[in-house]
Amino acid sequence: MAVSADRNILWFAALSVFMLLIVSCQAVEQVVVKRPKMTMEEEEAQRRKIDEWTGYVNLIGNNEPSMDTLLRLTDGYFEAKELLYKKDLEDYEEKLARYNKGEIKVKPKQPRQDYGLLIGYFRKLADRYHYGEGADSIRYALGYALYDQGDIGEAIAVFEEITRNYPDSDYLLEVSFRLGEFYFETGQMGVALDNYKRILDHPLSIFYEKGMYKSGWIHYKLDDYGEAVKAFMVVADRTWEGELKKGGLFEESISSMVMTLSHIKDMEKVIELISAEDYRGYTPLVLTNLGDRLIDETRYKDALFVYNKLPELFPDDPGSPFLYEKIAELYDVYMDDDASALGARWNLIKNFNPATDWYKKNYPGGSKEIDDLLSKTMVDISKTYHLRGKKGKSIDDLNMAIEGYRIFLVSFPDSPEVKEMNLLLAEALFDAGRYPEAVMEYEKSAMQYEDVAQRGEIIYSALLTYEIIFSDEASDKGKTVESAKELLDNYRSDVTKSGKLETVLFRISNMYGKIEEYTKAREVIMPLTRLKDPVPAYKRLAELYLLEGNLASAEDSYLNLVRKSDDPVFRDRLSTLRYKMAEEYLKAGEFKEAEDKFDQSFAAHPGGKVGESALMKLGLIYLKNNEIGKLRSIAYKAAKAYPGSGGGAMLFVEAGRDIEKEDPLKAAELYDEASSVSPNPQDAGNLLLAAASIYDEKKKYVKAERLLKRYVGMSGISTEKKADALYRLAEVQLKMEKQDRGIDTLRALLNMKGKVDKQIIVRANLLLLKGRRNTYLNVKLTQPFEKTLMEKTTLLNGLLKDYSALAREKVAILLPEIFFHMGTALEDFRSALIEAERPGDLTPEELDEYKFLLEEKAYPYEEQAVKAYTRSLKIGRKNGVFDEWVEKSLDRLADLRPALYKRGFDEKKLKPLFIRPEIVAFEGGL
Amino acid sequence: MRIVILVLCAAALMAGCAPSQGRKAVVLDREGRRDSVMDETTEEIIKTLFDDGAKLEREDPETALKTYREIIEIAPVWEAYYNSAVIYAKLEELKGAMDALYTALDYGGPPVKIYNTLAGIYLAMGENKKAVDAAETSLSYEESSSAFMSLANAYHAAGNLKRAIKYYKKAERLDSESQLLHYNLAVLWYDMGDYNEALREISKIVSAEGVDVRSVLTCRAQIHMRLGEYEKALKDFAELANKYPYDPSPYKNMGIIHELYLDDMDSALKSYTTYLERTARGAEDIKLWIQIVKSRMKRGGK
Repeated sequence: MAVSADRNILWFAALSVFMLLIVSCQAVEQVVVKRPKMTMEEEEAQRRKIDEWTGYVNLIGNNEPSMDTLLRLTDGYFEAKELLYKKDLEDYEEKLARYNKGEIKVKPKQPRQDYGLLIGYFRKLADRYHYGEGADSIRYALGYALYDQGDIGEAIAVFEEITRNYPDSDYLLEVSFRLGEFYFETGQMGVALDNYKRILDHPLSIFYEKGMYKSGWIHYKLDDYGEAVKAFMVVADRTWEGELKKGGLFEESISSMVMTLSHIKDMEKVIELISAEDYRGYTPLVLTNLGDRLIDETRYKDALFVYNKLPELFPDDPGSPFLYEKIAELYDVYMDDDASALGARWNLIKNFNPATDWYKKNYPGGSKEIDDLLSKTMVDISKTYHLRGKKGKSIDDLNMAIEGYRIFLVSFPDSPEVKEMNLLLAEALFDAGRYPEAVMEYEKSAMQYEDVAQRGEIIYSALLTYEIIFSDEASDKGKTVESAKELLDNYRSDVTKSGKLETVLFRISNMYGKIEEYTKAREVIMPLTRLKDPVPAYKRLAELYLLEGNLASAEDSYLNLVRKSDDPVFRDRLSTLRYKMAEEYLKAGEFKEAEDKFDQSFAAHPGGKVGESALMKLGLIYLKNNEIGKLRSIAYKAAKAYPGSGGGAMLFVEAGRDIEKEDPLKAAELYDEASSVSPNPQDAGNLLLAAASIYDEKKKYVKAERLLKRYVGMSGISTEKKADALYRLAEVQLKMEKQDRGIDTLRALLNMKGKVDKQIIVRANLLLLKGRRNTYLNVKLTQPFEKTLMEKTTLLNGLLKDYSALAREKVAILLPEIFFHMGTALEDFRSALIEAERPGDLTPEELDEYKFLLEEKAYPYEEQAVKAYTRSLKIGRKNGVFDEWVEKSLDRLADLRPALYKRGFDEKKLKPLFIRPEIVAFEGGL
Repeated sequence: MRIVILVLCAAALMAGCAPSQGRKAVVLDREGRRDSVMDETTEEIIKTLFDDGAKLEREDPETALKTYREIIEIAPVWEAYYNSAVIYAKLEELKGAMDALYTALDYGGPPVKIYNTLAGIYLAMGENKKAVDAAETSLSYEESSSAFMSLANAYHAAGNLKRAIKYYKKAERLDSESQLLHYNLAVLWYDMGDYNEALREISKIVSAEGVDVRSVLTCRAQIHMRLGEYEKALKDFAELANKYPYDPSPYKNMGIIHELYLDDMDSALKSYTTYLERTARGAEDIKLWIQIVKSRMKRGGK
């Protein structure tokens, strides 16, 4: 009976201990299962149990109880008390909730467990029963009640008594555990460990794992991590598989082990500890969890060490791929080391993909979880390598991307991502410059797409790739373009749908053009001439004809373009082409054809640059052929079509220059015309002056005057130039004997004194004096002599005075002229005296005397004239300038003082020379 | 009379003979018809004589002329007549030159060359109209710079300066580098009184190729004088005096420039004195000028 009672007590105690264990040890989240509320019947049944025990105790009073009955009823008593206490607690909580909500006014009273009756009774019994069967049970029940009621100290004393006095008691291990727990909770680790150790001598005890577990904790708390780990490992060894796993402390022991290991700084030591007696099946789990914990503690390098140790120690571990993913994550999330992360992931896909022995061994039937990880990683890292390769232009990265894509395609041929990956593979091959492979993959990829337009786009990419292959010097260009053409033919409708057909046809045509397959190049383009907008096709056809050197057909094509499009570019091209054709005619000596073509070149695009060049060229041809009439027409055409360029004026000027020596008047006309069309006012002015000079020189004074007046009337000319032109105008007007006009012009010029150079003013004055000088020269000394002498003397003095005044202006270049005029005036006076009319009533003797007197009077004037001329000569010598006035002065000196100045140069008659004929060699027989 | 031209012996060529072995000099008559083939020995003799003539032409033109007559005796080839004409021209036997040229023409000589040379001979003879005709005939066969220049020269000599300009320009378009052309154009502008243009043209002469240096220097000196550039003229006269020391003219001109234009009596005296040492022509005047120079020197001239 005692055994059954003990068992009952044991059952109840075990339940309580487990509850205790759960509270004290479990790290996992508890799931509280709410029991259904106790019914009235059940409550009644429990109260009956209490009544039974109470009734029995009362019944026997101080008599000897049946130990078996008592313990059985006590067992029921404990159960009922516990259940009713719990019910009271629930009721209390309910009422408290209602109270807190204000539904009831009176605050409920918290229930308390009360084992007072039992404790009182059992105390008495304990005092009486120290030995014999049931003595340990009575004490255990008493200790339990005291403990449960909260009298912990008394309860512990009772438990200590059991361990001390009843070493063979069935309750010893449980009581030891309770004591261990108590001391553990109260921080008395040494005593706690002693109690737990009592259990550890009984490996078959249900308290063994718990005791070992708690002893591990005590070592942990005492910083003895090695012993703690050992204790946790003992628990884990016993519970990681088999029956004990379900209710055991495996997870707690692993968790505690991980926590303990995390306190060790030296990771090598960790590995040493954990591998003390060879590795366990759970070691990878411990290391993985340890790594995770180390990451939480930001000990990334330690975590990395632990993670990296794993594949080294457990290469065949089925969780390896996830570990690699963890390593990669550690690199990229926590250590900011993308390259290493990428490397780890690369190892992941390389070492664990479905084609590897590892995979076949670990997952012969496949694994969705692993496949998901692998496929995602393959896609991600291949794309990453691809992007990196493109950005950094790294062939190595691109090659990694290519391999990654290829591993994916081999590993997961049925994946929905296959077509995308295939296309990416093609792109990566393209980016890596592996064009022939890229073309193959593009085509493969295209076949996987159902969408026609997308397929067309991909084929377009393949065709562009062919174009690149074609551009490689080493490629077989003919074969490449034919392959491209064949590909297009196979997918023509797709490419059409993608909207790329036109572009592709142009590209293929270009390739044919480059290998001088012009006919094929044109055939490819030809269908495009039937499009709504055939202009680009015609343009390409024209270009092909040009490349082929078929200028006539090119001209036809451009003509078509000009008819179909308003784009001035085509007019310009046609113009350029015709210009080129004209030049070729010129080279071939077909001048008439050349002229026509230049003319057509202009007509194709009047206003275009080439058209202007064509007109210029045409003009120069006419110039060369001396066809001035035609040249004139071209020049006016150019001036009208290109008003701002000056081309027309240039042609007139060139023509004028060409004939100026031969036919100066015609040249002057051309300069005049050039002036009228010149867009540059300064050029126009200069041309007017040039023409006026010629007219002046050729005594065409009316024309010269007209042009000079036009010049003077122009706006924007400088004061100096205007002054010079006024002088020339006055000169011309005086030559025309339009004295009044000439003098007016000179006065206008003299009004500019102070604003213009002194020289022009002096020159103007010299010109004004010319009239007075002529008047003076015309006065002859006739009778009455005194009167005419007076008149001429007055005029001479006036002239000399004015010339002297001009000389004082010291314009060096004009001084020889001034002195020359003074000389001539004086010389004229001398001549006038000598040639003076003689009085009619003189005898021959008197006449001789008269002549002598006149000569005597004239001589000083001659002397003065000689002086004036000599000064003119000296100024010429001084300045090294011997202009016409110096030469004229010298001429007069030679006349007046021949011995001193009359000299004759030996000048030779210059004759043209002929090409001196040379003897020839005999050519016979050579 | 027979002349010789070259023909290719087609049969020999077809047989694969070397060209020199297959070519034979062919003898033509004066109307240019084929007469016979010259034997190799005769051909060798003629070649040797031509070589002799070429060597003698500069140093001993008269013996050279005899050599060509000798060739004509053996075979009347046009080259021998042409070369005779060249030597006649050199000896200023213009009539002989003209006859030889016409005969060269009869015996198959190239008309372009012969008429061009004829134009020069006619000009030297003062036959300007005939010179024009000859040059135009040459041009009718082929347009060449030399023929245009001959024509221009002929018009120039005839006083038709506008036409001369026209043809000089045509010549210039075909050969703008011709030194002789620049000289002739300079002379033309000089004659037309356009001394600036004349100076521009003469300045284009950069080598003595085909032109007479003395003529160029004289022309340039006179252009400078006409432009009043006496110091430059003086340099040219000095160069002429240096190159051709026995020509007195440069000294006289230099003396006048020194005396009248540069007021340098020392140099004037030296130039006049050197002139008198070279020639007695105009000696009285020069002596008087020397007296005046000396007198000026006494009055303080240099």
